[in-house]
Amino acid sequence: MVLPEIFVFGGLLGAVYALLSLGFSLSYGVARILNLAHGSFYMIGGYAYYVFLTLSGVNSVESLVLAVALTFLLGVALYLGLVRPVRSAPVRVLLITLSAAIVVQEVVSLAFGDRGVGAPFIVGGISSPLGVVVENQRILAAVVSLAMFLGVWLLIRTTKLGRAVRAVAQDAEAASLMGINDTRISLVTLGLSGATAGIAGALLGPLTGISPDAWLNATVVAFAVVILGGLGSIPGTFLAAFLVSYSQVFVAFEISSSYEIIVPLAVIAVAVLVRPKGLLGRVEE
Amino acid sequence: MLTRRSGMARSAAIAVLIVIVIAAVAGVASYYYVSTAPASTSTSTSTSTSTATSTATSVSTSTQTVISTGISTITSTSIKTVTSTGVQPITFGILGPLTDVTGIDEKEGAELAVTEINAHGGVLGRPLQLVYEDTQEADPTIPVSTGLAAMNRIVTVDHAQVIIGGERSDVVLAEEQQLPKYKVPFLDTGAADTSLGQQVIANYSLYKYFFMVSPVNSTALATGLISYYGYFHYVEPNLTKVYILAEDIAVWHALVPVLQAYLPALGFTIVNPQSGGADYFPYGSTDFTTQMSNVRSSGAQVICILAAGQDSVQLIQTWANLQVPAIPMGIDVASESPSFWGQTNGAAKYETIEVGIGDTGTPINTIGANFYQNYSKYYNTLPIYTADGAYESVYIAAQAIEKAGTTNGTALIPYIEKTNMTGPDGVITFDKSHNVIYNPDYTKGAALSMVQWTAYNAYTPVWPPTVAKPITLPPWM
Repeated sequence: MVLPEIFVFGGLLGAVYALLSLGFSLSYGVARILNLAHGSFYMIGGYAYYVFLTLSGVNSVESLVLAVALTFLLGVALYLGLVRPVRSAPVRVLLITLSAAIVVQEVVSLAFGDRGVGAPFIVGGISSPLGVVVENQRILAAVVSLAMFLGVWLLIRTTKLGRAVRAVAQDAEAASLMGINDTRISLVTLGLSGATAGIAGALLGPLTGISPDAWLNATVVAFAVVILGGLGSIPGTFLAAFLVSYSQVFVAFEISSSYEIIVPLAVIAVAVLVRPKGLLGRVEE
Repeated sequence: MLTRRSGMARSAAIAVLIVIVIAAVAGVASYYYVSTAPASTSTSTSTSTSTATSTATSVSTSTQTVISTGISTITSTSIKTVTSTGVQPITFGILGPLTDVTGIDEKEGAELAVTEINAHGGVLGRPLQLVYEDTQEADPTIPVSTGLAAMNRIVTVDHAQVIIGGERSDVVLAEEQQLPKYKVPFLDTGAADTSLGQQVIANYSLYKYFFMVSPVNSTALATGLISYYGYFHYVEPNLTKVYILAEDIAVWHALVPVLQAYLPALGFTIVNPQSGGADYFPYGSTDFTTQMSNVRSSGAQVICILAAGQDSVQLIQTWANLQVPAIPMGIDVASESPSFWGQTNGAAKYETIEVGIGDTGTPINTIGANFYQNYSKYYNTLPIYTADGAYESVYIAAQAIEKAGTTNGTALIPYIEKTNMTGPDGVITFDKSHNVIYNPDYTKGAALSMVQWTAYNAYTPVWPPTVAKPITLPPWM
């Protein structure tokens, strides 16, 4: 068994998975929106970073910021334009967000082709933690993801806005009676959801490449993490992200990378059957 | 209620606005895509079978060669548009992933040949025209049924009398099953699975319409690769540890056992830790850190890469970024595209891949030289094997129609079977399975070469020995 490799690669991947899944957890836990277009923010974040960096002449950090801003706005637009009109019907939300994801994939495919794009790294070079050779970009992606995750968690736990978000998550009707604007909170939540997935795409995209269909795997991973961690539970999302990533990396190293993709799907099935409320979820869904 | 209705109306208006924005972006993207294509592309494809007036773009020639003798030797480069009136054109259908480089090159290679043939007066006095259907098969998530639907359209709606194209073996295998129904010759310019030709042998009367023009079949690809490894062992005798890294698709599952049987006999040791002796990764993979870690820990000095999809872009980038001390040498379809260098941000340097001998950047004959010159002039890039294949396929079909005196699909088969034509990849003849015959000597068959990426748009041929230059190892080895 190659323990150092599994430990290092699983940990680095888990940090990005945590950030990718955080928005998915928030959008369901707070706004009760099961957004199947969540992975599209990841994909758009990757493409936006690539476009800003290679075509507009801004530097890599500015590109990252612009990509995050764009995905935040797209999250807001998704809510206002497509989700809000059908929000009272969860099945219609599922259908419209899935349709949006497929439309976005086709548009991106038309604009950039079916083949993926690979943006230059923000930081080059390699390092050898525990003797395992990894790209510095991968370490940066993990560190930034952890910092962002912590930032959003602190936002939710310590600010007035965060209290309003938690109030809506606990009881939207009661929160509304207390004067909290549910629509505004949902807007912020979907915007944050888009931004966090977008930054994950922008950071991981240079390492894995970004193609128009990248949204699908990202959505499946986020879905698995959130189901396992418990819908709406931020600590649960964090824990589950690492469980999923370590499981994937273990399977890839010890069995075959051909089975790696099965892991998140198996996690969803097992979690739904054995523990529907997830590891740290409060309510069975 | 009024407020709610007004809110819903506002939301609906925003939704409509978003759809309009998306449509506008798609429109601009489409316009950009079309407007950046060479002029010859748009004019030569604008004809319709419903009109008796056909428009074709021609290349004026200084050397005239009739179609019945094979590929013409075009030496001039000026383009002009000519119109032939009152003649029903002959329709060739291009069936492939038209937004992918493989499909784009199919389309462009065919257009170049059609342009040349029409400049010589067409076939049977009729101009050729092209119609297109997109199978999207370069995308691994697209199902086989999309290819079948496109094939149905190209025959029943577009009325293609010959089909040229194909890329993914599973899609082409399904399309091949439709040939008994449509009875239209299908000239494959992308899929290489040997089993495609086995159908022809097993049930000739049903599947005789299928021909594999380019590349050579997977057995021949393996033969060429093994021959190269034998030569490599001679020039680099100390690099003997090989790690086999292959996409998890049928064509490589057929090829890997051949490599496992022959490489040890040539003096190599296969060092894969996997029980099957090869590391298969899913088609469309995007993360190769696991594989590169395994390569490093196995002590491999050579990565025998087998990849048909775009996943190799990331594979090669990861290999270079992590400075894995093993040189990748094998079959990598994405790497055959000149855009691969840019896609990998230059990480392709040192990768060594098998290509048709017509795709090394150094033409082997006058036809190849003219093909290269015209293709690169009109399309501002170098062709990959699908372009050669489509170019040759148009000539093969045109020659068969000229000799048969008809466009009837069944009547054309004996004439296509008797093809003996020199193209950019060597001499084209077909065996009993209707696969183009491989021969290391390009004057006797379709030949292969191994080339190493050295710079943007630049390969160095490192095999066969007659054209080989020394291979360069990465500085971190």
